[in-house]
Amino acid sequence: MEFKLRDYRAEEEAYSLTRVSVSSHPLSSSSSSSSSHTQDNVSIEFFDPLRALSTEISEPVEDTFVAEKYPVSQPASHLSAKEWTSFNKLLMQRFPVPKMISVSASSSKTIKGKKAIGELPANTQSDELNDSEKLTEKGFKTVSQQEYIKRLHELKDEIKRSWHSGDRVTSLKLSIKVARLLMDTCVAQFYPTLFVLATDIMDMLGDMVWERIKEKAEFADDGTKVCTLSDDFEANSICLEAKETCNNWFRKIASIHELLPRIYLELAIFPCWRFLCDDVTDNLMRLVMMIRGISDPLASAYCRFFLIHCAQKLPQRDTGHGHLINCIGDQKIVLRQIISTKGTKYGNFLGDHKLLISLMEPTIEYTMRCIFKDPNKIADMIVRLELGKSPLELYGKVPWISIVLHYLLKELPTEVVCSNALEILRLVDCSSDYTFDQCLNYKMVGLKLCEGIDQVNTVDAVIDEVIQAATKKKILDEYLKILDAYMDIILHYNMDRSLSSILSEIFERLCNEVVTEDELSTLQSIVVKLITHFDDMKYIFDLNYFVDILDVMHGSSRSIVCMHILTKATRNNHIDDPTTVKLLFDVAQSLHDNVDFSNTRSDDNQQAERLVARFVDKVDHGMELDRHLTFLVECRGAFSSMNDLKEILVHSSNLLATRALREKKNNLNFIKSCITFNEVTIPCIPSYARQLILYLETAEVSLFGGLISHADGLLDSAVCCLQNVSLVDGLRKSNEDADGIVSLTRKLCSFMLLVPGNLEQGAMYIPKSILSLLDSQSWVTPKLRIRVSCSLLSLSATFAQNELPYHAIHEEVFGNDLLFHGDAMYSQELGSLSRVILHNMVDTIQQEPSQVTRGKLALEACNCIASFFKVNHEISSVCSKLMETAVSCLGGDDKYLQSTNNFVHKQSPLCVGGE
Amino acid sequence: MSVEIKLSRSNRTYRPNDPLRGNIITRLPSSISHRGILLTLNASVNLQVRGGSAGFIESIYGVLKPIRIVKKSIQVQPSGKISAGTTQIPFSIILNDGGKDDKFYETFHGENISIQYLLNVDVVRGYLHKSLSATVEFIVESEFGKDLEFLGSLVYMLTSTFHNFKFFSTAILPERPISPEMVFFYITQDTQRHSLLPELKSGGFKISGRICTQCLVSDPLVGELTVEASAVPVYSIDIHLLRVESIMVGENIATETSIVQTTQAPNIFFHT
Repeated sequence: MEFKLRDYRAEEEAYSLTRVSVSSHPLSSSSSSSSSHTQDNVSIEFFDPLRALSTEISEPVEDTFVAEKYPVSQPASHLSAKEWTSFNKLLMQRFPVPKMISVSASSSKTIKGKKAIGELPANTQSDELNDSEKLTEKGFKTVSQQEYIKRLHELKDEIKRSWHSGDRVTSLKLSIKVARLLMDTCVAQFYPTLFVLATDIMDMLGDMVWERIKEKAEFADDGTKVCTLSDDFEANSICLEAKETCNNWFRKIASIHELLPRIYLELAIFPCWRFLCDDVTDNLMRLVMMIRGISDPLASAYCRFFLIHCAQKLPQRDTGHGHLINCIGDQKIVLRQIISTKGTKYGNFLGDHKLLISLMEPTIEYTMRCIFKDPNKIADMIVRLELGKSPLELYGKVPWISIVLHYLLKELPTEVVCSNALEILRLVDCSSDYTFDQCLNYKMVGLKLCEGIDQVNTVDAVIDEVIQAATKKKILDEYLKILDAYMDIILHYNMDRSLSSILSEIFERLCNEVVTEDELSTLQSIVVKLITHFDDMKYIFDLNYFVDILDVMHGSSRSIVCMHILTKATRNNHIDDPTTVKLLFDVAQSLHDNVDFSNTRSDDNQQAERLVARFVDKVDHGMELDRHLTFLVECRGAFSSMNDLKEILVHSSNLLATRALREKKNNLNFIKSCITFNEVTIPCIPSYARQLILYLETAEVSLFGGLISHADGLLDSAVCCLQNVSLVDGLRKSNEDADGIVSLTRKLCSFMLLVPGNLEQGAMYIPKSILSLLDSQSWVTPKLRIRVSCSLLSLSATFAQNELPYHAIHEEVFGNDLLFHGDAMYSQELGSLSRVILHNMVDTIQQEPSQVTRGKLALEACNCIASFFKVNHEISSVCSKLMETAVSCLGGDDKYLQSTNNFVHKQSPLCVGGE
Repeated sequence: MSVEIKLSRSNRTYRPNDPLRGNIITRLPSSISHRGILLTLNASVNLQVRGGSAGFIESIYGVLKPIRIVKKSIQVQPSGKISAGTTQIPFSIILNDGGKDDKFYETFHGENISIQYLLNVDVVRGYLHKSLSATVEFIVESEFGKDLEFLGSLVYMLTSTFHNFKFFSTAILPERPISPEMVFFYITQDTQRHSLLPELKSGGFKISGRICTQCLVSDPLVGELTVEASAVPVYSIDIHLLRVESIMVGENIATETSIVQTTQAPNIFFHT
């Protein structure tokens, strides 16, 4: 058995690709045009999976589908319909429904009574009166939420069914029943959901009536089409028959006894007024007036909400905005009443005004949104809302209901807020009641101003006003919330004086009270704004009280702030200011101490760890290498729970050693301390695979520095790791792990070529220990063993060459080719080792359970053997044996098998069996 | 074998100056000859007593005879033949053709009094054959715009339902309305002619408001009311629209009222 001799230099020349110099970077964009050009000319030489895919992109089916669903003819009303649906969805989510709903006796009859279909009591009025008596006597009943909703769906189906079977009177009667349910506000939390479900039914009825009358107008009695109504038809183009039917509907509805259902039903079919007259504004305003008669605040608020919704179905020219203005005006009166009857029973809300207000809130929001929907009418709206003479001249001192004000501010265009900032602040100042937290209104103004930050005119005055208002607030949370919203403006306009006064005030207040979670999170927001605004962390640390405020913070807020600081600081290329480094180190340490690493690794933890690692990476002590090493030692102590960081530390220290090597000649001691630092650090890392990598890296560095004994020691440790790899890490022994081990062993082998053979332990000590490891460890699979054996074989073959393919660069480190040149013992050792490996391989292949893998491994081994050994009788018999195995496993047609067969034949003129 | 009148307007509503148009439709299995097709327009005022209630009107009139106000007859076609199958014969009658005796009151269907307009068609077929005939009612409505219908004669009565105790109150109308259309009214414990709850009597209440007294039947009736004070909580407020029917009996006017519609005006849940 003899190794093939190889001339590496000749091989490199023969096999390396010819290099051609190019003028431009192949990936730069400028060449893209020419490349696309060539793409067309040159027939496809290779298969580019990405390009192929892009040509086959299917038509965006979904988009066209959506487009079809919403014809372009009525974009505006569709938009508002969509908005309404999404708003309703939000409404239902916002008020989660309790399982059991207490309902008044009259509603419970509708919900529970099944017999009611189509037969309304003859004397409705007396029936109602009886009901009201029951209500006072028996109070409330409870119904389960599911039952209630189910019944509503049933009612909807019944209405639809009777409509389509021609029984429209029943449909109407049932719809009235549904509308009547809305009179019952003692369902409280359930009311918004009830409203959504009931108005869905109302809308359905409205649509059906609309369609029916439209049909009457468009078609003659005998079914022929007479005309097509355009979207903006006029009432005089409607035939008398259609008008008569329409009138009939309105009259039927007008004779409903109770007010609320009457309003709801008229609203449901409100668009039908257009068949009767061109100007429906009067009718709309009449309904607005009628809603005043509903004294339950909740019912009236939602009724107005529905009115606004229905008015949107009309073409905009028809409605104007009068109803919106009146609605909000009436709403304000109701709210004022609620506020003034503080503490007493109001409607069905026994003193729970907060709940009542929160239930009414969405309706106010929606109204305001509609008022300011049309950007062309904003000036008009402002005047009509009695906010001011024009958008540029607002009155500041007229108090509003704060919740209404809130949604007004929310919808008010940014430019208006910006140009009237002072007046608006005064408006907020004088509008203070319990319906909405005043400081949130300040906040809203602040956010609006930030949106148009460059348009704010009287910045100084505004900020003074705000600080004054905030200082008046006794509660820290309110103080912080207000200022938080204006922070961006203060920072944008560099108002340092205000900033420092705010910071000192915050610190003072922080010292005087216990900080709650809410306050902390607002504080966090303020601090984060500071951090993001300034580019230089050094400047931020220099701000008065900044560090003190940071110290007061704790918990997750502190961690978040710390993360922001570190993110900001590590954005720069390097951190070299010693004070900043010190402060950042403290920040990082507090982050480390706050994060619970024992917990399962959450994203937050990982991010924290990454940030600290980045920080350590970015710290730069320039030429003071010793100091940097000390810093690394400090880091190791401070961030003991971060395992990934330790790897960074090892890398850094290796880098440090390399830098030291490059810079000066006489700093061997420093390099030694770096290596020692690593020797201490690496064992703390839990993963053996990672340890292995780091050991190898450090060994490389030490060899680079000429520290052979260190390198030997490190290699020993590496082999130890290899032994343990599977014990700890390999609880889950997947293929990737096995592949990882193979590649690590290969790396180890290729590194071995550099290391001078140890005379005491024998030159082949490490390959031998790897080999014995393969035999002794139970977790080594046949596949792994073959692959590692291949690399060991390759290593032995290379050692046997007269000149090694590469050498260590340190002049005092000699390669094995020099050390053992012509040493008979050495060659013998190599020969015996390779023989053992060879036999091992042949035996092991048979142990592989999977047939396909066994065949492939046999081919791999065969290739390996044929390329490293001179083919003689012994080798060719081994090869043919392996080929037989492969043929039996894979069959003769396998491509890999055929190419291996060719290769083996080429290597030896002698006959190699196999087929 | 049938005849039918189909009016041009589906709501069968005409004003005195409108031409009353339509078709006479015959559906015949075989052709017939006739001696002329006649249209007769009849209008009368009827006094009737419902369901044995002994009212004023009944006490005054022993026998109730309809009073004819309009009678008109025209020949649409002279004698001739109508072929088998469906035949449409159009007609047009001018209601108010200047005849001095004709008075076109509005159609009215009340509790005790009704004013009704009927159009009758007769296909006269000689001795041995029964003539074919059909009748349809049409509605006469006074001119919009020109002549506002004055509903002031109907007295609006406000009925308040206080809790579960019911009482009526007739609004006290000032002698002269301030505007021709709006009248102001107020109701207090002192305006009530019937017994009240003691606490209401002593505690008092005041409801004021205004209401429109002139309005088209097709238009909404508008008004406002304010509960200024009330000793007991108000549960809801109802408005009753009453029909007042009066007739002159010598110097006196006999009047009877009946409820047309009851409507909840404000719907009150809360306690003030």
